[in-house]
Amino acid sequence: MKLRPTTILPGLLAAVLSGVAALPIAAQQGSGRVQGRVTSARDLRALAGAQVFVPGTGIGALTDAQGRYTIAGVPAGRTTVRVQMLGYSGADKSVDVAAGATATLDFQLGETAVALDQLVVTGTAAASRRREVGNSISSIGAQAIQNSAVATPKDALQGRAPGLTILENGGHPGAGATIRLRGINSISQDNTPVIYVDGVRIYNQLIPAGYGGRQGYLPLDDIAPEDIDRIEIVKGAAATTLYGTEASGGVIQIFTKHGAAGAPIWNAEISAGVNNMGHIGPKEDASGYHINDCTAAATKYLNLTTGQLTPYVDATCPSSGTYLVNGPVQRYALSVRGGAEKVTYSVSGNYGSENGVLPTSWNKDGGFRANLSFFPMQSVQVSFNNAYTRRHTRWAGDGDNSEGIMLDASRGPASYMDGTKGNECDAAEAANQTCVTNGYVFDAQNFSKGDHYTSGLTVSYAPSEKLLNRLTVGWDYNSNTHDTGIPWGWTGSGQEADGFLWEEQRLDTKLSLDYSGSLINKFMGQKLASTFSWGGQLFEDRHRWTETDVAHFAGPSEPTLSSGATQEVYGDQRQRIINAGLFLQELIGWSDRLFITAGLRVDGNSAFGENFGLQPYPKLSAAYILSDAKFWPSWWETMKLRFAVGESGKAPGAFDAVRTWSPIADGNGSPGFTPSQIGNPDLGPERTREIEGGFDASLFQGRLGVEATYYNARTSDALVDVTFPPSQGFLNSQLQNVGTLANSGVELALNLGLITTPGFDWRLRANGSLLRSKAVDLGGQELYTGFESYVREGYPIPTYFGNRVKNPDAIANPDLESNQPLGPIYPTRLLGIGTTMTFAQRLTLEVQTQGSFGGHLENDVAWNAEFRGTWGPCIPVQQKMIAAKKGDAHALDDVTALWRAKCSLTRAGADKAFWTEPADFFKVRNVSLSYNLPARLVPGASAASIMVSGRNLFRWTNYTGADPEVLEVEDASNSGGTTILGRRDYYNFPPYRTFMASLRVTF
Amino acid sequence: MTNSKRTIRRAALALGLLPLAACSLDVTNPGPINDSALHTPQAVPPIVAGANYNMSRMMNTSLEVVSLVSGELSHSGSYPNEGLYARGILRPEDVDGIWGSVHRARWTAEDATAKLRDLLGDDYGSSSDAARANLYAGIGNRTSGELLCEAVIDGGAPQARTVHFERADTFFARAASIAAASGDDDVVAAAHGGRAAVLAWLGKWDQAVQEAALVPTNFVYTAAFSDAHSDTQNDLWYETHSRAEYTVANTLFADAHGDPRTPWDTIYAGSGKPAVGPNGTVVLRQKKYDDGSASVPVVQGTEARLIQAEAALRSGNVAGAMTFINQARAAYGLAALAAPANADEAWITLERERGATTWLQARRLWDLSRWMEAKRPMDPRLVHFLVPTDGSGARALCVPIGRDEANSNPNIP
Repeated sequence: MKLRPTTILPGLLAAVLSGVAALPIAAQQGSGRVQGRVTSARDLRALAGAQVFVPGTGIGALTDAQGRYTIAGVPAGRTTVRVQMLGYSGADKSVDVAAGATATLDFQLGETAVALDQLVVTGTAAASRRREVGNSISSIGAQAIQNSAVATPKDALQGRAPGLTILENGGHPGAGATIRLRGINSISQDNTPVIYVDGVRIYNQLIPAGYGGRQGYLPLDDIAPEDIDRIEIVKGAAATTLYGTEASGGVIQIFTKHGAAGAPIWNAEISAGVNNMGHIGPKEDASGYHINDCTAAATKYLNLTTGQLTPYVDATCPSSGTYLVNGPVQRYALSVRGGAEKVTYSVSGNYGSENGVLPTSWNKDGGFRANLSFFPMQSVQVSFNNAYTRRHTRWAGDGDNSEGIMLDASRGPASYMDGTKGNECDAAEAANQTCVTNGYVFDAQNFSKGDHYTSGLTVSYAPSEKLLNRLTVGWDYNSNTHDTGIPWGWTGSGQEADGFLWEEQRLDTKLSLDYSGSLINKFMGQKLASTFSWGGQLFEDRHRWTETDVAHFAGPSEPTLSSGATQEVYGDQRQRIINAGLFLQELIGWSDRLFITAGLRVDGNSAFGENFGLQPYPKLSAAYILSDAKFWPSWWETMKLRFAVGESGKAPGAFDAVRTWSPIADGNGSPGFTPSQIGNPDLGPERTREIEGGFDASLFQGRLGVEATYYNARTSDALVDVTFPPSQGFLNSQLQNVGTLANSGVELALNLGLITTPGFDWRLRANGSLLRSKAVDLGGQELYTGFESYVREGYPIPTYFGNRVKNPDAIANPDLESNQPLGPIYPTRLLGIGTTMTFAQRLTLEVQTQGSFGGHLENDVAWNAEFRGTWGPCIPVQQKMIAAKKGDAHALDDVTALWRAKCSLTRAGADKAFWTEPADFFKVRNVSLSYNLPARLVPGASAASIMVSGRNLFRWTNYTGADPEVLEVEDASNSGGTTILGRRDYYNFPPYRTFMASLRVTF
Repeated sequence: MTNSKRTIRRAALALGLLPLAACSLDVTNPGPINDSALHTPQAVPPIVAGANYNMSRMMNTSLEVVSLVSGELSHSGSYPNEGLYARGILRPEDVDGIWGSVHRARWTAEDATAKLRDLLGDDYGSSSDAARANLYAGIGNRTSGELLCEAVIDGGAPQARTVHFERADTFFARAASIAAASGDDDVVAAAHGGRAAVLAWLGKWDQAVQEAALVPTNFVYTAAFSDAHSDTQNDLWYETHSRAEYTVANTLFADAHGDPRTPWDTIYAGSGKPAVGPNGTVVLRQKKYDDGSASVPVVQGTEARLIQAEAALRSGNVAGAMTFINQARAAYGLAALAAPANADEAWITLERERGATTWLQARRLWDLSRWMEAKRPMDPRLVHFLVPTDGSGARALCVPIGRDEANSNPNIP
């Protein structure tokens, strides 16, 4: 099936051609070199990783460990050289460069918490100085990533930026995370931020691992942390207008390291460590879901009829007495960067192997990145960036899965795993005990394999300092295969006894074309500056998904999809969606102090309805550098006020606008049609308009930095899944533009230099956010978002609803009120605190924490366990309830109404609402201690360091389940990857802790 | 212009044009079928197959729910909704599945008759496809009337459930007429059998008897299932043979071992003891549907005999009723029953025979509802089942309007 063409193409084409073709090309001149050293102005410490470049050209270099740099190909004549580094004030210096000669230029940079002259590109039409930007931008630099014990980019983001929610979904190697910026602004569409890598948009959604694994890959995690130069984060519609449709969830852009002219610089890193799991679940359950301890001493359940603690046997409990193991971890990374006058390169490779804390849980990944830059002319830079990652993962059965250890072990004698091999259970059954064989869940073969390739070609053309053009063509390719196999001879029944193999194949590709041009002019003696920008983007998304299942194997050989007696193709999707847009923007600057930006983005999308045209998204922002005023005190060196208002949107799904029928075969095998989707020809994107205002300040020579932002967003024409009367024949819900949602919040970030002496440097950083969301208008509907959660007018998006105990603390039977709000799912308060201590410029202690408060989670594990007599906290309560039932009038004298409600003696009385709990947590994410070795200890190396680190070392929470962050990805995603809002804790294995030791060498 | 300038400009142009030239801007998805593609005579067989498919899905969903609510089976598994159904609880928020499935089947079949009338023109009156579409529309309406507490037609206001029987009567009559013209004897018999039932439920017993008499005792018309695809599989088979969600234990039918109409067996664990399901109930496994392709009867000649028996009993003719009952039993190779002592015994016998004859066909809930409403005599154990004395309240005997319908249909008060 095809839909109409998008009408934006001619405009986009014209924009590209006008920018490229109509420009003069500057003549190439003779050139020379500039070299020098960059140090800290305060203590003359060498600054490694500083960017040194010639503005308006692509020519530049990074400083090495000694702070040295060399720039080749600098045009002869008087040239300005600029240096920038996160945490330091930028600096410009001029130098005379003679053709064929080398000029020397050293820099000393002052520290600042707010680097107004730092270039940022995310959310701006062209590279802009921070002082010019009217919205908040968070940046995370390579140094911060290097100092932390992070294994993935998502780890690097945790707790690092205000307004950024990251929830680890589970404790399996290779598992991704849930990422949100400024909360939830769409009910029906994915809220994951758009992700760019070096200007190329990549697939941003979790890729579900499928039937057995119940977790998912996050393509973002395929970027090796050691390859990252910096990360920029823009959060709301006010900042993402130029990205148009799909960007209202914010944008995260990752810049990887590039080479610089000079001798090759090699970096090697070797890491080894171990994953370890502590106690699982509530402290009252010493057995830890019967996973920590599966021995006969622990495997007891409360018989809810007799009130007796009754033993059962797990015949497959390992000799260690626990199903947990310590999982070895090893990682290797090698990179080289360098270049010549006209070519620079950065090539890196990495390999990691990680075992989880369950016997069959592991992930292996590896890949390479090659970033090449060419400077064929002074005005032209061509960058060709390529990255490839391969993953191979074995998942331990997780979540709502009868072959999952959490589900089976925590249900005690009601485990699905009750089949035996041989006479394993004879003794137990002779003793009239229930016997389970939970260990056989690890026979299930849940594998994922992924290939992720990203390639981007960027041509920057700057014929003069006034005219800049950039064209990027990018391609992101994600191919993933997920298998769940049950071997022939399984202990289960039915088709499981003969084995089955389920396989899902996904191919998600994204082709992007991105052009922008800028014309810079100055008037009135340089006081008035104008930057006029234009450009366009085109994205083609292809999604192919095939799900097949075969069952009933004849024998024990390794099966294929043609091995089974029954074979079925569950589904096959092949979608292609085009989104294209044009933008215009004018940035006016006055005295380099006041900046006003106005822009307009116009989008077309092939998923819009037949009657829907183009979608305009306007923006307006202002920035004012108050600290540049003469009256401003010198101790308060930077004060920038900013304000922005803008719109962006989210498009509906590929065929949400069209009335469709699904092909089926009836029971006789005849082909037919059945109603699928009722269709809506007026369907368009939802629009989010956001206003944000705030300030960035740096005081006391950079010792105190403050960034504060208030934002208020309103999403109109919200895409809401509307249910039509089933009596009309179409059962699937239909997207309609009917809702209005509100989001507001406050973000605050502090950077504090507590002690900044050459011998001891102690810095503290903290960020906090308040997030408020509310469904303002849903056209009178309420929307069920899964797992007892709803979106209802007047409540946070989404909120759990259900029975509430009105007298929770009373010593009485529970007094219930029905259909009550039990709390929002997603956190309303975020906190990140980190500190860095450096002793004698050699020994560095880095700590990063993350807190999340105000969210809730439905603890379905407890709900399932309590009416089976296996939930530790309920057992003493239930014993008293049984005693009371038998006539003990005082048995319940100390049992509150809440606990009487929670700990029902019957399944009929059990209610998930009573197990919907606050999911507040505060975690120490990373602790690392690194030491820069003296060069003499590592012959031939220019720098070397060792590091010991720990991850997820401490957790504070009152949540009684395994972990307040867990999520079953199969719950949250369908085959297309669209995320739903509801979350539940349904037998998902919790995140574990990791201890690592690393050696880094630069030579 | 220098060579280098030209090279740069041409390269830039090529870069700009290459990706644009390589692709069109259409959105494509070869799966879903646009509604407009169905307005062609070639679509007639698939349209009818779609109606047939939805009839089977309706039966699939309905027999799972009805078997538990009506006590044909009890719950031995871990599914929460099934636990409620087994306790006779049918809440609006738990019945969207069956409400939607029944209505989709009815609507799809009725829509098919309308589409076929347009597409076939004068051929409509003698088309096998049209006959089947009308039959499916009749079965969809009969099932709707038997299961749903209220009739809601195409987003309209609630009406008495008998509206469905009236619509079914119309569709069955049309199906019989068209099938007679097209020579589809099975459809003719099925239409008469279906019509006999709905006429009876409308109180038109004389006409019902006339229609029933046209159905041979051994005639069976089924909803087709296939294990070639999970969407066409008989899920009750899966839930009782691959899982242990349902059991015959704790039902009246557990006492009737050996009746070919209600077959079941006992599953044994490795220890030699009877196996229990996840909720601890002994698993007695239904054997009526012993593979995933097992079809579900929707019209039976034996039921036609029982309709005739019921008509006779209503007129006080106990002996005549037993004659029809025993004709039906004979079709299953069962011995004739002795004459009951009185009419009350005969009503109890008729209820039991209907229960066995239509076991696991999503019909029993309506029978129990009729018996209760008319205060017909029934097995005391059944009385206890329907109105428990433990204070748990009377069991639901029909499916209420689902939450989705109530929330989306402005005509629902």
